[in-house]
Amino acid sequence: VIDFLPTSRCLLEDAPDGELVNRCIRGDRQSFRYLYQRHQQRVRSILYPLTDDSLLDDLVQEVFLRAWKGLPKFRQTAQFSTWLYRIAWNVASDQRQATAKQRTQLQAIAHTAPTHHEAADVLDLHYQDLVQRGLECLSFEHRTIVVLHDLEELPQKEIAEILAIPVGTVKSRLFHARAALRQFLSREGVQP
Amino acid sequence: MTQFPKNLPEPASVDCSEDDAALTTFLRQHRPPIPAASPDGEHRLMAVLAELPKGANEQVPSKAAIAPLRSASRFRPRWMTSTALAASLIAGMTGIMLRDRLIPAQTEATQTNLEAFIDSTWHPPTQDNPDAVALFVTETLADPAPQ
Repeated sequence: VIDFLPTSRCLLEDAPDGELVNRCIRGDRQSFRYLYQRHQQRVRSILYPLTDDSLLDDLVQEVFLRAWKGLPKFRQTAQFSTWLYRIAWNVASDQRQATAKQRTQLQAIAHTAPTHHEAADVLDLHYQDLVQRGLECLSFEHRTIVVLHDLEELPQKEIAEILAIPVGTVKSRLFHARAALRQFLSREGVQP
Repeated sequence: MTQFPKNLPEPASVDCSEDDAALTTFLRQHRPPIPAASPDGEHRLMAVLAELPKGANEQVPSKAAIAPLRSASRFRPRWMTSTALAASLIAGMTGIMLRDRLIPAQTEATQTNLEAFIDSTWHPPTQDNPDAVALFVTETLADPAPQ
């Protein structure tokens, strides 16, 4: 029987990731709820450009489910967020491989249409469409780098840890990804 | 052709050129909005976790945690081994003493008979072949081979 220390909800909500992780490993699901609340938005942000948005909720759940099951193997020398983003990237890769053969050209075209029209400005919508299509024209590896570095503003060292590649490879991929994006935007009439 | 806006704040990355900064800023400003999370996403996740078998993610006890159990289990065989060795030594000594008592000592008559039997049946190897002895002596006393 696990005897949890009596910790108030406020203290737990503000507890560092490491403490919550330790409590999760001992089976405390409430602590995992706080980790979910803390990180789910960032996980969504990473997954969204890398996956099919119709599956986004399910994929986010898959990420956290894998995290819960894998917590005992988590080496706490790394940050929990880095480890979690790596799981998110793995889930995105798995989903991409599973649907790669099924996706038809028609679905791909339909997918490019923006589905969330919250921006009031038509020009904004146009640019959003360009960014989305620009990201989709990149290879999965290059898109991942742009999402993590340019959109999520993660440091290159952390990206290298997430993807288990050298920092030099991160820099190289970033260089080529940006060049490809510039080329795409240039073709679409947006010149840096 | 549309130009990237140049008067936007610098991105967090410091190791990029001005062009990279403009591109990055453009991407951040116009990234497609992330769909809102399903309102019951958290509830669904917690429900799934609750359905998992208990201890599905609980850590296997660390080596430090199970060390006392291991040392206790190691102590018992060591104690038993030494006891078993002492017991087998005592049993062996007792067995030898019992055997000496149970088996009668050889009598002088038996010993004399045994010596007579050996004398009558044992022949040195040279007795049947005197030539072999002569050959051995010749080779042994011959001059050593020249260096």
